[in-house]
Amino acid sequence: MSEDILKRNNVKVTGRGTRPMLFAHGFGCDQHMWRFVTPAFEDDYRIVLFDYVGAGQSDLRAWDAAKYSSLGGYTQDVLDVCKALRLNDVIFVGHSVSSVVGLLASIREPRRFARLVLVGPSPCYFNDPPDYRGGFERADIDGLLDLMEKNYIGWANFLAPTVMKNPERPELARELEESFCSTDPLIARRFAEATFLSDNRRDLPKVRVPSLIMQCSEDAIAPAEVGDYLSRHLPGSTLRVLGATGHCPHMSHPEETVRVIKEYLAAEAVS
Amino acid sequence: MDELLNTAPCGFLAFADDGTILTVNATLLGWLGYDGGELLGRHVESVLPPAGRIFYQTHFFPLLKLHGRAEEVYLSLRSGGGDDVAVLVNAARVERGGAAVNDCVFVPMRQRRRFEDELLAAKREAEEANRIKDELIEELSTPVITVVDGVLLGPIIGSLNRERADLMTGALLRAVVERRARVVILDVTGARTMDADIVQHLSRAAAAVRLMGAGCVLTGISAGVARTLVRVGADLTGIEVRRTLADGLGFAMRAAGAGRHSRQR
Repeated sequence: MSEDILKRNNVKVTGRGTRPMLFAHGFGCDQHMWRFVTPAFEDDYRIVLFDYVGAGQSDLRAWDAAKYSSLGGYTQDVLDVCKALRLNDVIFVGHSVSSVVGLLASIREPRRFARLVLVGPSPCYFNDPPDYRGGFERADIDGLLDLMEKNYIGWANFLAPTVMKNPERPELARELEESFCSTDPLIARRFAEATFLSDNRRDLPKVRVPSLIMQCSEDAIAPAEVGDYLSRHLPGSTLRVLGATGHCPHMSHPEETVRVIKEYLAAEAVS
Repeated sequence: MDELLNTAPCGFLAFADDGTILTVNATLLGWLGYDGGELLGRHVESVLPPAGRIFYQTHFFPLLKLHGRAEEVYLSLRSGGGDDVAVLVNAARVERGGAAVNDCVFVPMRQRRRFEDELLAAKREAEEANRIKDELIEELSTPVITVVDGVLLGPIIGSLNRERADLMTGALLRAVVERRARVVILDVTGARTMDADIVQHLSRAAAAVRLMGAGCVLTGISAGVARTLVRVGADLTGIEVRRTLADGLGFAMRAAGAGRHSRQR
Protein backbone atom coordinates (compact mmCIF):
# COMPACT_ATOMS: atom_id res chain seq x y z
CA MET A 1 0.00 0.00 0.00
CA SER A 2 2.69 2.51 0.96
CA GLU A 3 4.67 1.52 -2.12
CA ASP A 4 1.62 2.36 -4.18
CA ILE A 5 1.53 5.85 -2.67
CA LEU A 6 5.21 6.41 -3.38
CA LYS A 7 4.62 5.51 -6.98
CA ARG A 8 1.28 7.27 -7.23
CA ASN A 9 2.75 10.56 -6.09
CA ASN A 10 6.17 10.13 -7.70
CA VAL A 11 7.83 10.50 -4.31
CA LYS A 12 11.58 11.16 -4.27
CA VAL A 13 13.62 11.02 -1.07
CA THR A 14 17.13 12.44 -0.85
CA GLY A 15 19.37 14.08 1.71
CA ARG A 16 21.72 12.86 4.39
CA GLY A 17 19.89 14.12 7.45
CA THR A 18 17.16 12.45 9.48
CA ARG A 19 14.73 15.32 10.11
CA PRO A 20 12.17 15.24 7.29
CA MET A 21 11.60 18.28 5.11
CA LEU A 22 8.61 17.84 2.83
CA PHE A 23 8.35 20.15 -0.20
CA ALA A 24 4.95 20.64 -1.78
CA HIS A 25 4.67 22.33 -5.17
CA GLY A 26 1.87 24.73 -5.97
CA PHE A 27 -0.51 25.09 -8.86
CA GLY A 28 1.03 24.96 -12.31
CA CYS A 29 4.10 22.84 -12.18
CA ASP A 30 5.62 19.99 -10.21
CA GLN A 31 8.36 19.08 -7.72
CA HIS A 32 11.07 20.35 -10.07
CA MET A 33 10.14 23.85 -8.97
CA TRP A 34 12.21 23.17 -5.83
CA ARG A 35 15.34 22.22 -7.71
CA PHE A 36 17.27 25.36 -6.84
CA VAL A 37 16.41 25.23 -3.15
CA THR A 38 16.57 21.62 -1.93
CA PRO A 39 20.33 21.10 -2.48
CA ALA A 40 21.06 23.61 0.29
CA PHE A 41 19.22 21.41 2.79
CA GLU A 42 20.47 18.01 1.75
CA ASP A 43 23.25 17.78 4.30
CA ASP A 44 21.04 18.34 7.31
CA TYR A 45 17.62 17.03 6.36
CA ARG A 46 15.80 14.15 4.75
CA ILE A 47 14.29 15.80 1.69
CA VAL A 48 10.95 14.50 0.47
CA LEU A 49 9.61 15.66 -2.88
CA PHE A 50 6.36 14.58 -4.50
CA ASP A 51 3.84 15.44 -7.20
CA TYR A 52 0.15 15.78 -6.46
CA VAL A 53 -1.94 13.31 -8.43
CA GLY A 54 -2.48 14.90 -11.81
CA ALA A 55 0.79 16.81 -11.79
CA GLY A 56 4.27 15.94 -12.97
CA GLN A 57 4.97 12.22 -13.19
CA SER A 58 2.25 11.18 -10.80
CA ASP A 59 0.00 8.28 -11.75
CA LEU A 60 -2.80 9.85 -13.75
CA ARG A 61 -4.98 6.79 -13.31
CA ALA A 62 -5.39 7.70 -9.66
CA TRP A 63 -6.88 11.04 -10.60
CA ASP A 64 -10.46 11.58 -9.63
CA ALA A 65 -12.44 14.67 -10.60
CA ALA A 66 -14.42 14.91 -7.39
CA LYS A 67 -11.45 14.34 -5.10
CA TYR A 68 -9.10 16.80 -6.74
CA SER A 69 -11.64 19.54 -7.31
CA SER A 70 -11.20 20.67 -3.74
CA LEU A 71 -8.15 21.24 -1.58
CA GLY A 72 -9.17 18.30 0.60
CA GLY A 73 -7.92 15.93 -2.10
CA TYR A 74 -4.49 17.54 -2.18
CA THR A 75 -4.37 17.58 1.61
CA GLN A 76 -5.03 13.86 1.55
CA ASP A 77 -2.09 13.37 -0.84
CA VAL A 78 0.22 15.12 1.62
CA LEU A 79 -1.01 13.04 4.54
CA ASP A 80 -0.79 9.84 2.48
CA VAL A 81 2.85 10.57 1.64
CA CYS A 82 3.66 11.31 5.28
CA LYS A 83 2.01 8.09 6.34
CA ALA A 84 3.66 5.99 3.63
CA LEU A 85 7.11 7.19 4.68
CA ARG A 86 6.21 7.22 8.39
CA LEU A 87 7.27 10.83 8.69
CA ASN A 88 7.09 12.69 11.97
CA ASP A 89 8.29 16.05 13.16
CA VAL A 90 7.98 17.22 9.57
CA ILE A 91 9.07 20.61 8.31
CA PHE A 92 6.52 21.27 5.61
CA VAL A 93 7.49 23.71 2.85
CA GLY A 94 4.57 24.66 0.63
CA HIS A 95 4.40 27.08 -2.27
CA SER A 96 1.33 29.13 -3.07
CA VAL A 97 -1.80 27.00 -2.72
CA SER A 98 0.28 24.30 -1.05
CA SER A 99 0.69 26.69 1.85
CA VAL A 100 -3.01 26.32 2.51
CA VAL A 101 -2.78 22.58 1.91
CA GLY A 102 -0.07 22.48 4.58
CA LEU A 103 -2.25 24.43 6.98
CA LEU A 104 -5.15 22.05 6.35
CA ALA A 105 -2.91 19.00 6.76
CA SER A 106 -1.62 20.36 10.05
CA ILE A 107 -5.17 20.90 11.27
CA ARG A 108 -5.99 17.27 10.53
CA GLU A 109 -2.77 15.79 11.94
CA PRO A 110 -1.15 18.44 14.13
CA ARG A 111 1.29 16.09 15.77
CA ARG A 112 2.91 15.12 12.49
CA PHE A 113 4.20 18.58 11.64
CA ALA A 114 6.83 20.58 13.51
CA ARG A 115 6.92 23.70 11.35
CA LEU A 116 5.16 25.07 8.29
CA VAL A 117 7.12 27.18 5.81
CA LEU A 118 4.66 29.02 3.59
CA VAL A 119 6.08 30.47 0.37
CA GLY A 120 3.82 33.09 -1.18
CA PRO A 121 0.72 31.98 0.73
CA SER A 122 -2.83 33.21 0.35
CA PRO A 123 -5.92 31.93 2.16
CA CYS A 124 -8.23 33.39 -0.46
CA TYR A 125 -7.38 34.76 -3.89
CA PHE A 126 -10.45 36.76 -4.68
CA ASN A 127 -11.56 40.10 -3.36
CA ASP A 128 -14.16 40.16 -0.62
CA PRO A 129 -15.16 43.78 -0.13
CA PRO A 130 -15.19 45.85 1.92
CA ASP A 131 -12.25 44.57 3.95
CA TYR A 132 -10.48 41.74 2.20
CA ARG A 133 -8.40 42.15 -0.94
CA GLY A 134 -7.24 38.79 -2.28
CA GLY A 135 -6.21 40.40 -5.54
CA PHE A 136 -8.57 38.89 -8.09
CA GLU A 137 -12.09 39.10 -9.39
CA ARG A 138 -14.03 36.14 -10.73
CA ALA A 139 -13.51 37.44 -14.26
CA ASP A 140 -9.73 37.24 -13.78
CA ILE A 141 -9.96 33.59 -12.76
CA ASP A 142 -12.18 32.85 -15.76
CA GLY A 143 -9.54 34.57 -17.88
CA LEU A 144 -6.91 32.24 -16.44
CA LEU A 145 -8.97 29.14 -17.20
CA ASP A 146 -9.51 30.42 -20.71
CA LEU A 147 -5.78 31.01 -21.12
CA MET A 148 -4.99 27.51 -19.91
CA GLU A 149 -7.44 26.03 -22.36
CA LYS A 150 -5.64 27.70 -25.25
CA ASN A 151 -2.26 26.35 -24.24
CA TYR A 152 -1.43 22.77 -25.06
CA ILE A 153 1.30 22.20 -22.53
CA GLY A 154 1.45 18.73 -21.06
CA TRP A 155 -2.07 17.76 -21.99
CA ALA A 156 -2.85 14.19 -20.94
CA ASN A 157 -5.19 13.74 -23.89
CA PHE A 158 -6.00 16.06 -26.71
CA LEU A 159 -9.61 15.39 -27.37
CA ALA A 160 -10.99 13.00 -24.79
CA PRO A 161 -9.97 11.72 -21.36
CA THR A 162 -9.35 8.22 -22.68
CA VAL A 163 -6.78 7.47 -20.00
CA MET A 164 -9.29 7.92 -17.24
CA LYS A 165 -12.01 5.95 -18.99
CA ASN A 166 -9.82 2.91 -19.58
CA PRO A 167 -7.89 2.16 -16.43
CA GLU A 168 -7.39 -1.41 -17.57
CA ARG A 169 -5.41 -0.25 -20.59
CA PRO A 170 -2.20 1.24 -19.17
CA GLU A 171 -0.65 1.54 -22.62
CA LEU A 172 -2.86 4.60 -23.04
CA ALA A 173 -1.05 6.46 -20.28
CA ARG A 174 1.51 8.25 -22.37
CA GLU A 175 4.71 9.76 -21.06
CA LEU A 176 4.21 13.48 -21.25
CA GLU A 177 7.01 15.40 -22.84
CA GLU A 178 6.30 18.54 -20.91
CA SER A 179 4.44 17.12 -17.97
CA PHE A 180 6.42 19.50 -15.81
CA CYS A 181 3.99 22.34 -16.34
CA SER A 182 0.58 21.21 -17.40
CA THR A 183 -2.36 23.19 -18.70
CA ASP A 184 -4.39 20.04 -19.17
CA PRO A 185 -8.00 21.19 -19.55
CA LEU A 186 -9.32 18.44 -17.34
CA ILE A 187 -6.76 17.95 -14.60
CA ALA A 188 -4.91 21.25 -14.34
CA ARG A 189 -8.19 23.08 -14.71
CA ARG A 190 -9.61 21.39 -11.64
CA PHE A 191 -6.48 22.26 -9.70
CA ALA A 192 -6.86 25.85 -10.84
CA GLU A 193 -10.46 25.93 -9.70
CA ALA A 194 -9.64 24.28 -6.39
CA THR A 195 -6.87 26.81 -5.86
CA PHE A 196 -8.44 30.06 -6.93
CA LEU A 197 -12.05 29.55 -5.96
CA SER A 198 -11.54 28.35 -2.40
CA ASP A 199 -11.69 30.50 0.70
CA ASN A 200 -9.85 29.13 3.69
CA ARG A 201 -9.76 32.19 5.90
CA ARG A 202 -11.94 30.52 8.49
CA ASP A 203 -9.45 27.65 8.87
CA LEU A 204 -6.63 29.92 9.99
CA PRO A 205 -7.49 30.08 13.71
CA LYS A 206 -7.51 26.29 13.89
CA VAL A 207 -3.82 25.96 13.06
CA ARG A 208 -1.67 24.81 15.98
CA VAL A 209 1.68 24.40 14.24
CA PRO A 210 4.04 27.41 14.08
CA SER A 211 4.61 28.83 10.62
CA LEU A 212 6.80 31.12 8.57
CA ILE A 213 5.05 33.41 6.09
CA MET A 214 7.42 34.27 3.24
CA GLN A 215 5.94 37.33 1.61
CA CYS A 216 7.42 38.46 -1.70
CA SER A 217 7.63 42.07 -2.73
CA GLU A 218 5.28 42.97 -5.57
CA ASP A 219 3.63 39.60 -5.76
CA ALA A 220 0.51 39.99 -7.91
CA ILE A 221 -0.83 36.61 -6.85
CA ALA A 222 -0.24 36.88 -3.10
CA PRO A 223 0.01 40.62 -2.48
CA ALA A 224 1.39 42.28 0.63
CA GLU A 225 -2.05 42.87 2.13
CA VAL A 226 -2.61 39.12 2.12
CA GLY A 227 0.67 38.52 3.96
CA ASP A 228 -0.41 41.08 6.54
CA TYR A 229 -3.81 39.45 6.89
CA LEU A 230 -2.19 36.09 7.45
CA SER A 231 0.25 37.35 10.04
CA ARG A 232 -2.68 38.81 11.96
CA HIS A 233 -4.95 35.78 11.76
CA LEU A 234 -2.61 32.79 11.69
CA PRO A 235 -1.61 31.84 15.23
CA GLY A 236 2.08 31.15 15.79
CA SER A 237 3.12 32.74 12.50
CA THR A 238 6.19 34.80 11.71
CA LEU A 239 6.13 37.18 8.74
CA ARG A 240 9.24 37.77 6.67
CA VAL A 241 9.13 40.09 3.69
CA LEU A 242 11.59 39.16 0.97
CA GLY A 243 13.41 41.41 -1.40
CA ALA A 244 12.45 38.90 -4.09
CA THR A 245 9.69 40.07 -6.40
CA GLY A 246 7.07 37.99 -8.11
CA HIS A 247 5.41 34.84 -6.89
CA CYS A 248 8.08 32.13 -7.18
CA PRO A 249 11.08 33.22 -5.12
CA HIS A 250 12.30 29.62 -4.95
CA MET A 251 12.75 29.86 -8.73
CA SER A 252 13.65 33.47 -9.28
CA HIS A 253 15.60 34.19 -6.09
CA PRO A 254 16.66 30.84 -4.65
CA GLU A 255 19.59 32.14 -2.56
CA GLU A 256 17.44 34.54 -0.60
CA THR A 257 14.76 31.88 -0.23
CA VAL A 258 17.24 29.39 1.20
CA ARG A 259 18.73 31.99 3.54
CA VAL A 260 15.39 33.05 4.98
CA ILE A 261 14.26 29.47 5.58
CA LYS A 262 17.56 28.55 7.21
CA GLU A 263 17.41 31.58 9.49
CA TYR A 264 13.89 30.65 10.56
CA LEU A 265 14.76 27.03 11.24
CA ALA A 266 17.87 28.01 13.19
CA ALA A 267 15.83 30.36 15.38
CA GLU A 268 13.34 27.58 15.94
CA ALA A 269 16.11 25.22 16.99
CA VAL A 270 17.22 27.68 19.63
CA SER A 271 13.72 28.19 21.05
CA MET B 1 19.33 47.28 -30.91
CA ASP B 2 19.92 45.62 -34.25
CA GLU B 3 17.76 47.45 -36.83
CA LEU B 4 16.61 44.22 -38.48
CA LEU B 5 15.25 42.96 -35.19
CA ASN B 6 13.84 46.30 -34.24
CA THR B 7 11.49 46.45 -37.22
CA ALA B 8 11.07 42.73 -37.89
CA PRO B 9 7.49 41.49 -38.49
CA CYS B 10 7.30 40.06 -34.99
CA GLY B 11 7.42 41.47 -31.49
CA PHE B 12 10.61 41.09 -29.47
CA LEU B 13 11.05 41.55 -25.75
CA ALA B 14 13.84 40.51 -23.39
CA PHE B 15 13.46 40.43 -19.62
CA ALA B 16 15.64 39.55 -16.67
CA ASP B 17 14.87 36.83 -14.15
CA ASP B 18 13.35 39.32 -11.75
CA GLY B 19 10.95 40.38 -14.50
CA THR B 20 12.57 43.67 -15.50
CA ILE B 21 12.09 44.48 -19.17
CA LEU B 22 15.52 45.01 -20.75
CA THR B 23 14.73 45.33 -24.46
CA VAL B 24 11.63 45.92 -26.54
CA ASN B 25 11.50 46.24 -30.31
CA ALA B 26 9.63 48.90 -32.23
CA THR B 27 7.13 46.44 -33.66
CA LEU B 28 5.95 45.38 -30.22
CA LEU B 29 5.84 48.95 -28.97
CA GLY B 30 3.64 49.76 -31.94
CA TRP B 31 1.19 46.94 -31.19
CA LEU B 32 0.95 47.91 -27.55
CA GLY B 33 0.76 51.64 -28.14
CA TYR B 34 3.85 52.62 -26.21
CA ASP B 35 6.64 55.03 -27.14
CA GLY B 36 10.40 54.55 -27.23
CA GLY B 37 11.68 53.73 -23.75
CA GLU B 38 8.33 53.63 -21.94
CA LEU B 39 8.53 49.93 -21.10
CA LEU B 40 12.22 49.63 -20.30
CA GLY B 41 12.87 48.97 -16.63
CA ARG B 42 9.24 48.12 -15.92
CA HIS B 43 8.10 44.68 -14.86
CA VAL B 44 7.01 42.34 -17.64
CA GLU B 45 3.74 41.90 -15.73
CA SER B 46 2.83 45.46 -16.65
CA VAL B 47 2.10 44.26 -20.19
CA LEU B 48 0.01 41.33 -18.97
CA PRO B 49 -3.64 41.35 -17.89
CA PRO B 50 -4.40 39.74 -14.48
CA ALA B 51 -4.99 36.24 -15.88
CA GLY B 52 -1.73 36.47 -17.80
CA ARG B 53 0.13 37.54 -14.68
CA ILE B 54 -0.93 34.40 -12.91
CA PHE B 55 -0.04 32.29 -15.92
CA TYR B 56 3.36 33.97 -16.19
CA GLN B 57 4.15 33.12 -12.58
CA THR B 58 2.68 29.61 -12.52
CA HIS B 59 3.65 28.33 -15.97
CA PHE B 60 5.59 30.59 -18.30
CA PHE B 61 8.48 31.65 -16.11
CA PRO B 62 8.96 28.19 -14.49
CA LEU B 63 9.01 26.60 -17.95
CA LEU B 64 11.67 29.03 -19.06
CA LYS B 65 13.75 28.70 -15.98
CA LEU B 66 13.69 24.90 -15.94
CA HIS B 67 13.57 23.95 -19.59
CA GLY B 68 15.48 26.92 -20.89
CA ARG B 69 12.76 27.52 -23.45
CA ALA B 70 9.01 27.79 -23.91
CA GLU B 71 7.35 27.26 -27.25
CA GLU B 72 3.95 28.00 -28.73
CA VAL B 73 2.71 29.61 -25.54
CA TYR B 74 -0.53 31.48 -25.95
CA LEU B 75 -0.78 34.76 -24.09
CA SER B 76 -2.66 38.01 -24.13
CA LEU B 77 -0.66 41.20 -23.90
CA ARG B 78 -2.23 44.32 -22.50
CA SER B 79 -1.78 47.45 -24.55
CA GLY B 80 -1.34 50.93 -23.16
CA GLY B 81 -4.96 51.62 -24.04
CA GLY B 82 -6.21 48.63 -22.04
CA ASP B 83 -7.00 46.33 -24.97
CA ASP B 84 -5.75 42.79 -25.18
CA VAL B 85 -3.60 41.53 -28.01
CA ALA B 86 -3.62 37.75 -28.46
CA VAL B 87 -0.13 36.42 -29.25
CA LEU B 88 1.83 33.23 -29.61
CA VAL B 89 5.18 33.31 -27.83
CA ASN B 90 8.47 31.52 -28.31
CA ALA B 91 10.99 32.20 -25.60
CA ALA B 92 14.53 31.13 -24.84
CA ARG B 93 16.83 31.68 -21.92
CA VAL B 94 20.27 32.94 -22.85
CA GLU B 95 23.26 34.39 -21.11
CA ARG B 96 24.13 37.94 -21.95
CA GLY B 97 26.54 40.18 -20.14
CA GLY B 98 27.11 37.57 -17.45
CA ALA B 99 23.46 37.27 -16.45
CA ALA B 100 20.49 35.18 -17.53
CA VAL B 101 18.15 36.92 -19.96
CA ASN B 102 14.85 35.66 -21.31
CA ASP B 103 14.30 36.45 -24.99
CA CYS B 104 10.72 36.38 -26.28
CA VAL B 105 9.34 36.55 -29.80
CA PHE B 106 5.66 37.34 -30.32
CA VAL B 107 3.39 36.61 -33.26
CA PRO B 108 -0.17 37.97 -33.28
CA MET B 109 -2.98 35.41 -33.15
CA ARG B 110 -6.09 37.42 -33.89
CA GLN B 111 -7.55 35.28 -36.64
CA ARG B 112 -6.46 31.99 -35.18
CA ARG B 113 -7.91 32.91 -31.84
CA ARG B 114 -11.33 33.49 -33.34
CA PHE B 115 -11.15 30.14 -35.09
CA GLU B 116 -9.92 28.40 -31.94
CA ASP B 117 -12.73 29.92 -29.93
CA GLU B 118 -15.22 28.44 -32.35
CA LEU B 119 -13.46 25.08 -32.31
CA LEU B 120 -13.49 24.96 -28.54
CA ALA B 121 -17.18 25.88 -28.43
CA ALA B 122 -18.00 23.17 -30.97
CA LYS B 123 -15.94 20.65 -28.99
CA ARG B 124 -17.85 21.48 -25.82
CA GLU B 125 -21.17 21.10 -27.58
CA ALA B 126 -20.14 17.75 -29.03
CA GLU B 127 -19.00 16.54 -25.61
CA GLU B 128 -22.33 17.49 -24.11
CA ALA B 129 -24.25 15.78 -26.90
CA ASN B 130 -22.16 12.65 -26.43
CA ARG B 131 -22.80 12.66 -22.74
CA ILE B 132 -26.55 12.84 -23.29
CA LYS B 133 -26.36 10.10 -25.88
CA ASP B 134 -24.39 7.84 -23.54
CA GLU B 135 -26.90 8.38 -20.78
CA LEU B 136 -29.74 7.50 -23.10
CA ILE B 137 -28.04 4.36 -24.32
CA GLU B 138 -27.46 3.25 -20.78
CA GLU B 139 -31.13 3.72 -20.00
CA LEU B 140 -32.27 1.87 -23.08
CA SER B 141 -29.75 -0.93 -23.04
CA THR B 142 -30.83 -2.87 -20.01
CA PRO B 143 -34.53 -3.59 -20.13
CA VAL B 144 -35.64 -6.68 -18.25
CA ILE B 145 -39.19 -7.67 -19.08
CA THR B 146 -41.47 -9.82 -16.94
CA VAL B 147 -43.24 -12.14 -19.37
CA VAL B 148 -45.34 -13.91 -16.76
CA ASP B 149 -44.87 -14.22 -13.05
CA GLY B 150 -41.42 -15.78 -12.51
CA VAL B 151 -40.21 -15.56 -16.12
CA LEU B 152 -37.92 -12.73 -17.18
CA LEU B 153 -36.82 -11.77 -20.68
CA GLY B 154 -33.58 -9.91 -21.30
CA PRO B 155 -33.38 -8.97 -24.99
CA ILE B 156 -29.89 -8.26 -26.28
CA ILE B 157 -30.11 -5.61 -28.96
CA GLY B 158 -27.22 -4.13 -30.91
CA SER B 159 -23.62 -4.71 -29.93
CA LEU B 160 -22.38 -5.74 -26.56
CA ASN B 161 -19.20 -4.39 -25.02
CA ARG B 162 -17.89 -5.13 -21.57
CA GLU B 163 -19.45 -2.06 -20.03
CA ARG B 164 -22.89 -2.87 -21.43
CA ALA B 165 -22.54 -6.53 -20.52
CA ASP B 166 -21.75 -5.54 -16.94
CA LEU B 167 -24.76 -3.25 -16.82
CA MET B 168 -26.98 -5.94 -18.29
CA THR B 169 -25.80 -8.61 -15.88
CA GLY B 170 -26.35 -6.26 -12.97
CA ALA B 171 -29.86 -5.39 -14.12
CA LEU B 172 -30.72 -9.06 -14.68
CA LEU B 173 -29.51 -10.17 -11.26
CA ARG B 174 -31.36 -7.35 -9.54
CA ALA B 175 -34.50 -8.31 -11.39
CA VAL B 176 -34.07 -12.00 -10.49
CA VAL B 177 -34.07 -11.02 -6.82
CA GLU B 178 -36.72 -8.30 -6.91
CA ARG B 179 -39.20 -10.18 -9.08
CA ARG B 180 -38.43 -13.65 -7.72
CA ALA B 181 -37.67 -15.05 -11.14
CA ARG B 182 -37.42 -18.77 -11.75
CA VAL B 183 -36.29 -18.59 -15.35
CA VAL B 184 -34.42 -15.94 -17.32
CA ILE B 185 -34.50 -15.88 -21.11
CA LEU B 186 -31.54 -14.23 -22.84
CA ASP B 187 -32.63 -13.52 -26.39
CA VAL B 188 -29.95 -12.69 -28.91
CA THR B 189 -32.15 -12.39 -32.01
CA GLY B 190 -31.42 -8.66 -32.13
CA ALA B 191 -27.73 -8.89 -31.38
CA ARG B 192 -25.74 -7.28 -34.17
CA THR B 193 -22.54 -9.22 -33.77
CA MET B 194 -21.58 -12.32 -31.89
CA ASP B 195 -17.90 -12.77 -31.38
CA ALA B 196 -15.90 -14.66 -28.82
CA ASP B 197 -15.90 -11.73 -26.38
CA ILE B 198 -19.65 -11.35 -26.45
CA VAL B 199 -20.17 -15.05 -26.04
CA GLN B 200 -17.97 -14.85 -22.94
CA HIS B 201 -20.02 -11.97 -21.56
CA LEU B 202 -23.20 -13.91 -22.17
CA SER B 203 -22.01 -17.14 -20.58
CA ARG B 204 -20.86 -15.16 -17.52
CA ALA B 205 -24.23 -13.48 -17.25
CA ALA B 206 -25.95 -16.83 -17.57
CA ALA B 207 -23.70 -18.38 -14.94
CA ALA B 208 -24.47 -15.54 -12.55
CA VAL B 209 -28.21 -16.01 -13.10
CA ARG B 210 -27.89 -19.72 -12.38
CA LEU B 211 -25.95 -19.01 -9.20
CA MET B 212 -28.95 -16.97 -8.10
CA GLY B 213 -31.01 -20.14 -8.37
CA ALA B 214 -32.83 -19.30 -11.60
CA GLY B 215 -32.77 -21.27 -14.81
CA CYS B 216 -31.32 -19.72 -17.93
CA VAL B 217 -32.47 -20.09 -21.53
CA LEU B 218 -30.58 -18.76 -24.54
CA THR B 219 -32.74 -18.09 -27.59
CA GLY B 220 -32.56 -16.53 -31.04
CA ILE B 221 -29.42 -18.31 -32.11
CA SER B 222 -28.81 -18.15 -35.83
CA ALA B 223 -26.70 -20.59 -37.82
CA GLY B 224 -23.80 -18.19 -37.89
CA VAL B 225 -23.96 -17.68 -34.16
CA ALA B 226 -24.15 -21.41 -33.59
CA ARG B 227 -20.95 -21.85 -35.60
CA THR B 228 -19.22 -19.15 -33.55
CA LEU B 229 -20.30 -20.74 -30.31
CA VAL B 230 -18.87 -24.08 -31.35
CA ARG B 231 -15.69 -22.54 -32.73
CA VAL B 232 -14.83 -20.69 -29.53
CA GLY B 233 -15.77 -23.65 -27.42
CA ALA B 234 -18.37 -21.70 -25.49
CA ASP B 235 -19.27 -23.26 -22.17
CA LEU B 236 -23.03 -23.42 -22.06
CA THR B 237 -23.42 -26.13 -19.43
CA GLY B 238 -26.58 -25.76 -17.43
CA ILE B 239 -27.98 -23.34 -19.98
CA GLU B 240 -30.93 -24.35 -22.09
CA VAL B 241 -30.70 -23.36 -25.70
CA ARG B 242 -33.69 -22.88 -27.97
CA ARG B 243 -33.61 -21.71 -31.54
CA THR B 244 -36.47 -19.22 -31.41
CA LEU B 245 -37.79 -16.92 -28.76
CA ALA B 246 -41.17 -18.65 -29.02
CA ASP B 247 -39.63 -22.03 -28.21
CA GLY B 248 -37.69 -20.47 -25.37
CA LEU B 249 -40.80 -18.85 -23.92
CA GLY B 250 -42.67 -22.12 -24.07
CA PHE B 251 -39.90 -23.94 -22.24
CA ALA B 252 -39.53 -21.18 -19.65
CA MET B 253 -43.19 -21.03 -18.81
CA ARG B 254 -43.40 -24.78 -18.39
CA ALA B 255 -40.31 -24.76 -16.16
CA ALA B 256 -41.64 -21.88 -14.07
CA GLY B 257 -45.05 -23.51 -13.80
CA ALA B 258 -43.52 -26.82 -12.71
CA GLY B 259 -41.59 -24.93 -10.08
CA ARG B 260 -44.76 -23.34 -8.81
CA HIS B 261 -46.41 -26.73 -8.61
CA SER B 262 -43.49 -28.20 -6.69
CA ARG B 263 -43.59 -25.32 -4.23
CA GLN B 264 -47.31 -25.74 -3.70
CA ARG B 265 -46.87 -29.44 -2.96
